[in-house]
Amino acid sequence: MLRNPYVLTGTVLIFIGASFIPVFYLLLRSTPLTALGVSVVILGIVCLGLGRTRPETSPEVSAVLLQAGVENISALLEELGLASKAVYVPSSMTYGKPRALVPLISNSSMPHIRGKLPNRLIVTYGPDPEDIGLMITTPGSPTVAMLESKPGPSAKELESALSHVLIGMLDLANSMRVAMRDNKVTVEVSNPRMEYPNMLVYQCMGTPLASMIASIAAEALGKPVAVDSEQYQKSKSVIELEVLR
Amino acid sequence: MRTYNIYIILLSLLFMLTTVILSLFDQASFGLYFSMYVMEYFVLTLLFTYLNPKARRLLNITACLLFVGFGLLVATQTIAVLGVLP
Repeated sequence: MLRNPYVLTGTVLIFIGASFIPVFYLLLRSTPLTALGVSVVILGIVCLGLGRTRPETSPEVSAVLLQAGVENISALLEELGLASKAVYVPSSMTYGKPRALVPLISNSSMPHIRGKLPNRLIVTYGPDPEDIGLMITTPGSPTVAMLESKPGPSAKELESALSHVLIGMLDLANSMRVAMRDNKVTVEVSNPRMEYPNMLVYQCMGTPLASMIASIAAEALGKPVAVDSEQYQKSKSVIELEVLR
Repeated sequence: MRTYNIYIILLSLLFMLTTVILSLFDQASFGLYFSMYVMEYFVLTLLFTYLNPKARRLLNITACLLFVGFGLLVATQTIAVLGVLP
């Protein structure tokens, strides 16, 4: 537990503060210094508390696991020769967690999903024989589980949900802005802190960041969503999503 | 953990500035210092809305403890004013 820097700092601060309070109060009889000692103890308690919420898995291990997962999905999609864009489906349209549907047949038009999709790898999503696709768990799928409650379909509520998860919990960016127009959702991410190699799978699924945003957006809107485009500038990412019927 | 770091740094700065400013004005009342710390803690914690729910729960427990401390201070001062204790 003491390897956690917050816990270590908190313990040291509490020890130092608690040691000096009696000295400042009884020996030096100084109110400001006593108050300073108390503030050090308060800071120590805060550090200790925050340290206990830090995940046990180090960021390096998390990056390794993410890399392994993405490479597995990439290998699967490349082997099957899939080039269609993934459609992020909300949990209300599946019998399990929200996942991404990758149609097996590449088509210029987006798939029309009829009914709830079963919890399987290969699913039929429409009446045509060609309406078959792969249901894949992406980095966005477990992200949706971090939401405290289902957000509403407005831009403000989606922005709040994205900020809560991607900034507050995952610390992936500085700020987010969401704009909705017709069937397009534009998300501006300031200073995204996620780095990943350029892989073919990201053209189909979107980058992990886009995947998380699309999953949460699909859940909020209650409709399937596809990543239309991603643009990366110096300190800003603009991700455009298309909302499907 | 950037959010945690910013929170701790801001809280430290606020506490330090409060102590320095109040001591420059020769304030000798511990209750004043503690009240300012509690108020700053509450305001800063409220401003950080996007904290992890578990972190928020622990910070709320700390807030309760600080409030209890504040209550004890107020009670002590009230008793002293009423002249019950010597």
